[in-house]
Amino acid sequence: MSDKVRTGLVILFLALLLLFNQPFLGIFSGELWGLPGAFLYFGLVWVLLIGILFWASSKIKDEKEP
Amino acid sequence: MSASLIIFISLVYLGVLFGLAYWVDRWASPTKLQRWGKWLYALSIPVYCTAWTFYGSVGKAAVGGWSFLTIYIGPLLTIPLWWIVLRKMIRICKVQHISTLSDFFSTRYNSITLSVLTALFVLVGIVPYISIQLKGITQSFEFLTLESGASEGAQQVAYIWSDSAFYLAIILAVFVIFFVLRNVETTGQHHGLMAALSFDSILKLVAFLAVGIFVSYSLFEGIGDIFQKADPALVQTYTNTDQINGMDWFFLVLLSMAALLLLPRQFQVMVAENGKEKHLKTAGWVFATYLLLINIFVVPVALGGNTLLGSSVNPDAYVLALPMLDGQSFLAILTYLGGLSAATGMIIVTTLSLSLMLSNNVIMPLAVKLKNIGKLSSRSAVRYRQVAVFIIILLAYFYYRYVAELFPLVSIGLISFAAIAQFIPAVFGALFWKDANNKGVTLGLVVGFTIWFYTLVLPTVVKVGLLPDTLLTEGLFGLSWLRPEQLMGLELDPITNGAFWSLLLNVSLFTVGSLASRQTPKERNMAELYANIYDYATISDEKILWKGELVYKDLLRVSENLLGQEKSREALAHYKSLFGKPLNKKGEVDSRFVNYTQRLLSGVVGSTSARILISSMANEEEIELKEVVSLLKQTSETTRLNSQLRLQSLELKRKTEELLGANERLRGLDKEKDDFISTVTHEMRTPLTSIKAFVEIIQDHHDLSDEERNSFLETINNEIDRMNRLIDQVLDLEKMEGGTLHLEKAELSPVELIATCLEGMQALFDSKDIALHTHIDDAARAVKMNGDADRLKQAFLNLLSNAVKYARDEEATIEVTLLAIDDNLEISVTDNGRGIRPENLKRVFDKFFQARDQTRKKPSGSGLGLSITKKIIELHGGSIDVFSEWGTGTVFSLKIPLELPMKDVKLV
Repeated sequence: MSDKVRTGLVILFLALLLLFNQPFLGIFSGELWGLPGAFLYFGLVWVLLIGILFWASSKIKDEKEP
Repeated sequence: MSASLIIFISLVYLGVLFGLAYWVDRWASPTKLQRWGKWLYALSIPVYCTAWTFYGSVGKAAVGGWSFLTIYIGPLLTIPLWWIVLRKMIRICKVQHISTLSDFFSTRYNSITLSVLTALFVLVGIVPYISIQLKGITQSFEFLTLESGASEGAQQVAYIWSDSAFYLAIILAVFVIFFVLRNVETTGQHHGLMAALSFDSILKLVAFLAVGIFVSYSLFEGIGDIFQKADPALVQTYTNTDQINGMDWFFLVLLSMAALLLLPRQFQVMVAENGKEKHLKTAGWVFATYLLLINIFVVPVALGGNTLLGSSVNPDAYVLALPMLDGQSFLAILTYLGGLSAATGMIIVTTLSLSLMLSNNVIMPLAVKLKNIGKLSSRSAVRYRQVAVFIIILLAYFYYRYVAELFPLVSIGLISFAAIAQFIPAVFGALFWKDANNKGVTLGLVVGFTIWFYTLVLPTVVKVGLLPDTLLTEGLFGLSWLRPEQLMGLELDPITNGAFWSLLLNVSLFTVGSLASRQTPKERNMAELYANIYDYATISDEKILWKGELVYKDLLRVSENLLGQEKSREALAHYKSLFGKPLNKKGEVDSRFVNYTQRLLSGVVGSTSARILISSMANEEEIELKEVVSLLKQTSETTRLNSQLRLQSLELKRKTEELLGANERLRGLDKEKDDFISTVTHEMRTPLTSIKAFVEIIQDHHDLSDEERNSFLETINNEIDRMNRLIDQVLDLEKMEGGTLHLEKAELSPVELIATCLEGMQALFDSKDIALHTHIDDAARAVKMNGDADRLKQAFLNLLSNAVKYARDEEATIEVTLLAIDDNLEISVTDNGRGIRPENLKRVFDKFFQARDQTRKKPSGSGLGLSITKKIIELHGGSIDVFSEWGTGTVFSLKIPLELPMKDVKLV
């Protein structure tokens, strides 16, 4: 695994840790279109992550396995 | 609903599940399994979502707040790390034939005590978790069968034999024994099990989505409607996210992260059952999608249930109660089956994994000590596992019957998560910290588990009345700072309190213990292998040190007893094909063969028992640290040499490519030279042929009139001029390319220079009826520049004659523009001729290009004009470009700096 891939994955993990914890969650207090802001926020970040993981699955090269 | 109907449906479902597992194991072709492997793997990971997810999440969400979601956010956060952490665990387990967490530790830290402790700790931590699955199923069964439809939970039955949970536990134990533990080898994939788990995952997702859609769009008019009609105080717990306690939230996420990687069922499915490491890539996005879908309707169902049912129904049962409220029996049964599948999947895999741990790390080592090794067989290994399955299932049942009844699903689940999180330091130490050692790990684990028991388990014992309340209110020995749920006086949520203190002490003691004590040589050896597993994957048997005397026959006998004669022979043949005979000069087996056999035995009895078996047959000698150091040195030297070799190979490849490029360029230059000579001689031959012909006519025909003779002589003169021009141009070009051209630099007026050129060409324009337009701006009229007037004239005349040559036959125009912009002079010559084809644009400045252009009739001229023009402009520090569109004309655009720096002029 290249250093670039490893760094990218660690950065993604740290970004998610930040996005899914306080104080970030507090920013989305309140309602939007009759729904809790956090309901939409969680959904949006979740869908984005799925997109990134799907994209990454085609980009990370397979390595030789014993 | 009738109890017999529900029992019948449950049995049919379990029958389908068992049938599927059997069919896949027995009949599915290897090609199909390979094709479906990544999907089976991806869909079996949601075994993480248990009855707790199915019933407990809604129950927790109905109380209020987003905290139920932490259980899924934790696993979600781990996905980017799978390729770094999980892949390494998979590789280690495959190379070392490891299938349980306790063997993973016992191999790395070279400690049998640690493996036993791990197995027992996991058993204590996970049995309550299995019990809540039984509770979930029983509650849902009771709820469906009670006429009131408003159960407060499972009703306690007086006798075990009249308790449905007991029979369910037995059925599941039988499934594990007959469908999963049939094979003697514990490593490798159980395809039937994976298929059954995938089926479970799909069913529970479909069932939950069906309930969610039904509640949101049938009982209510959409999710927004649910939020509008729900209790405002409850809705506020979802809108006011700034009220979320950051520390509680963080610890719940952390515990869930650990749970996904280390819970026995997750370890079994994600590590031991992994067919190919690359399957992790698909599993990542599939699992993230699964978690999103299974959570999307949790809050709507919880709020909907609270609005319509309130406290008349246990919130854990909302998923069942809501369809029943509307008389949707089919949906209620589907939901019940979803919950049943969530619980059975969890129980089956957890029991499998725990039974392997118990039999390999506790029962088998005891048996080795108590029995004659010769009597150990594959049959006895399987029997120990079967016994372990029954022990686990019965423990879980009794815990359910006497303790779990009194607590909600979520609280018991979180206590189990906190237990499993105690293994985080040991796992990360094994994977990434070579200095982590057995003493540090054992110290950290023992203290961590003690604190976990004191802060999280003890309060549950107090709450069921087995210990006095004062322990919680006044603390141990009356010391208030020892209150289990407020340890050191910290007022935290009980789970956060327990997780915080146990993990803090565990990590601290693990680190201090590892730094303060020394590793044994064997441990050091394994630390190196674990940390750098990708380097050792194919040579691990050579890199594990073993010293001692072991008779070949003894080893073969044990191997045949446990693996079976056929497999044992196959393995031996495989070894011989790789390394030759496994005997040393004394007739004893060599260390590589011992390691090889130990790995094979690990696949049957686990690495702890395999090590005990080998030790009991051999006279093992102590390995000295210097031997390990020497081995590591050899390995690091080999790695260094390999890396050097790789670098040298890359350098060689680069140089070869450079040489090939240079050779290609030389060939190109050679060809260019040949083309040049060929073109020049061809261009010379045409006038020479013409001259020769006319000279012969004059010689042979003395009767020519003076007029004719003069005409021929003029032609001869013109041809000689043409040859002279060609020779001049060739010489000019050669000087320019060789850098020996003299530029006679002087101050000049560009406007005057261009005017002179245009005057000289005027007769030609008139003869061809070409309209000339000039645009010169005021700034350009005033500027002066340094340059070689003759050479610039030559360049400009070349461009003008080129424009005349290609001008239209009718309504031909040539436009000359002269602008002074900033410190540059910009000149353009535009004609409205037929233009240049796009593919030829880049080649117009090549020498003799027009002569080589076979696409049209050859125009007059040598084909060197534009090459010379380009060189002259470049020698003046400028540039020339051409723009053209086929059919509409061509623009040659020059840009020359007005202040020509001396250094840019190549003067010789």
